[in-house]
Amino acid sequence: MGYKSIGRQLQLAREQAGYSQEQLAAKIGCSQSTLSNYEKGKRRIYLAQLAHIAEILGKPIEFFLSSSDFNSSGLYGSSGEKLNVPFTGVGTHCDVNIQSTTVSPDVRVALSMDEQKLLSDYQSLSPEGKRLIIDFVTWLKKREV
Amino acid sequence: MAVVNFNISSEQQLLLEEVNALACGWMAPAAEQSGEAGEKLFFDGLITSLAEHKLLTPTVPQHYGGRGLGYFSTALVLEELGALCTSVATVVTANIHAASPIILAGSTKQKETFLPPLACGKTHLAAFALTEPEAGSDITAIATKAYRKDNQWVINGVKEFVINGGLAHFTTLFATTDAKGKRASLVAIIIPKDINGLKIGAVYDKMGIEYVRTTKLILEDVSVPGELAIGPRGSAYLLLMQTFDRGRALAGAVGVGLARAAYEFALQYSKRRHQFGRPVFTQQAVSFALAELAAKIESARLMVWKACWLIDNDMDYTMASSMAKIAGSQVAQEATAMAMDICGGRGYLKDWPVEKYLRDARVLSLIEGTNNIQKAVIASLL
Ligand SMILES: Cc1cc2nc3c(=O)[nH]c(=O)nc-3n(C[C@H](O)[C@H](O)[C@H](O)COP(=O)(O)OP(=O)(O)OC[C@H]3O[C@@H](n4cnc5c(N)ncnc54)[C@H](O)[C@@H]3O)c2cc1C
Repeated sequence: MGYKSIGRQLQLAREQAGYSQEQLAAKIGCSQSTLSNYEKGKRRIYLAQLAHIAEILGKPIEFFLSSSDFNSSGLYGSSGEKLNVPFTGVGTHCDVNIQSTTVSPDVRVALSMDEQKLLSDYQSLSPEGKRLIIDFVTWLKKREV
Repeated sequence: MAVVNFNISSEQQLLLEEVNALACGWMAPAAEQSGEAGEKLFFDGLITSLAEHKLLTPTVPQHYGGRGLGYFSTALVLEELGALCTSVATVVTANIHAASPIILAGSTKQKETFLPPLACGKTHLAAFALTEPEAGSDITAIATKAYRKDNQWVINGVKEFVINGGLAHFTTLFATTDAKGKRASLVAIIIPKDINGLKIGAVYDKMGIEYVRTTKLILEDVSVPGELAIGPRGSAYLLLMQTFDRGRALAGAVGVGLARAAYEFALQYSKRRHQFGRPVFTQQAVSFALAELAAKIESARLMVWKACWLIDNDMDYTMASSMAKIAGSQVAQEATAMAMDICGGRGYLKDWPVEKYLRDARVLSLIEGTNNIQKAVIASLL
């Protein structure tokens, strides 16, 4: 279902913001396992919660819905189809109660070559590999403070 | 950790009494009539009196003049309505569905404009338009296109199977801003009634829930103010999913009500009907079938209640809601088929309620996402 790709974007945004799952979970008031399930697409994230996370991570809502394989399944079920979905930047421009932020929707365009390479290497790693990188970066950050 | 509590409060008890009092007035005669006479009773009597009691869209918050019922209370109402007249229960679920995205993420102005009429004491229906000729279970096939022109949204496309189509005060419609439906480009737009370019297509002649007006909608350069899009940009897909995740529990409640009605009818009949010198109920084949149904109805009801309780307590309800929908719709189909068997040949007659129950039950596995799709939702979360 589409929630897997929302989850992947959520993980990406969290990591870009330098939060561990524990840290972000504490900030949004849920358990680490709930956040982990959101990231794995094992639990549906509802709009109010995503809006809250988006605000903390400085991303617009559509960032989470615009990953490349977002169309791999249909509304109610799976179609199996894979389409490339570039970010479209559609706006409703209405006065909404749920806050969304105004940060550039696709931060990847603002990354340097090194950063892009690092990100794509990171994305190609296994979950364990990703975990190691996050732990290492968290450790490094702590040392530098 | 919250403790699940299914105690019916005194307010909920009063609510049930209120719905049942309505039933004595309008529901039973309308549900029993058929054809044009039935339809007139349905709209002029039943729907009007539900509107007067603000029960046509019971989830409208009190702040906007509504009853502000939670999902658990709404499920209680819908079980009663489902038992009395599935058509009216379906109209209520359609209204709730159309209002849901506005309640969840609408702007203050949208709420102030579109919610109070649904709870003003007069009949105001609402519609929810998602399905299209090529986009049923698969929304990535949505072709209804919305684009921005100056400060307006311009919408073109065809929607199918729209409950309350042409009658609705407003329609909550989903379109795509891209050539072919992509989730991030979905947009939910409120289409007010009587707007230029909105045409009512075919009115479907259905197997059951015949009073529920269901139509095709054709949108030709329908132009609405930009402020009628619901939610933050890019959020319509999530809004849609959440609306379904909530609505499915309520569809389950309608199924439980219908199952209960069929079961109760069959039970009474089996106690009255004598064959071989004794009531057919005394045949174990009959009483066990009824016992099994009683257990399944109770189990589906508890699943509905659990899902609604999770919704009301802001917990994770997706899987519970899909399960409740499967359980409610399946038990409705099983109970209505069994009731027909227990009533024998008479159950097959049009002037008996059982054949209507059976026809009405069929739709429940198709709407709110087919039951296969509920299984896909559940499987995706395993
Ligand atoms: C009386 C009635 C009222 C309705 N009211 C509304 C309304 O108010 N608004 C609205 O927008 N829609 C409404 N609908 C439409 C309803 O939601 C759709 O009919 C439903 O979603 C199924 O779509 P479809 O009919 O195109 O079937 P399809 O999607 O074509 O499905 C056909 C069959 O294939 C199966 N299938 C499809 N994809 C999968 C998959 N991935 N995995 C497993 N099985 C699959 C389905 O379960 C089904 O058995 C209504 C329908 C009816 C009959």
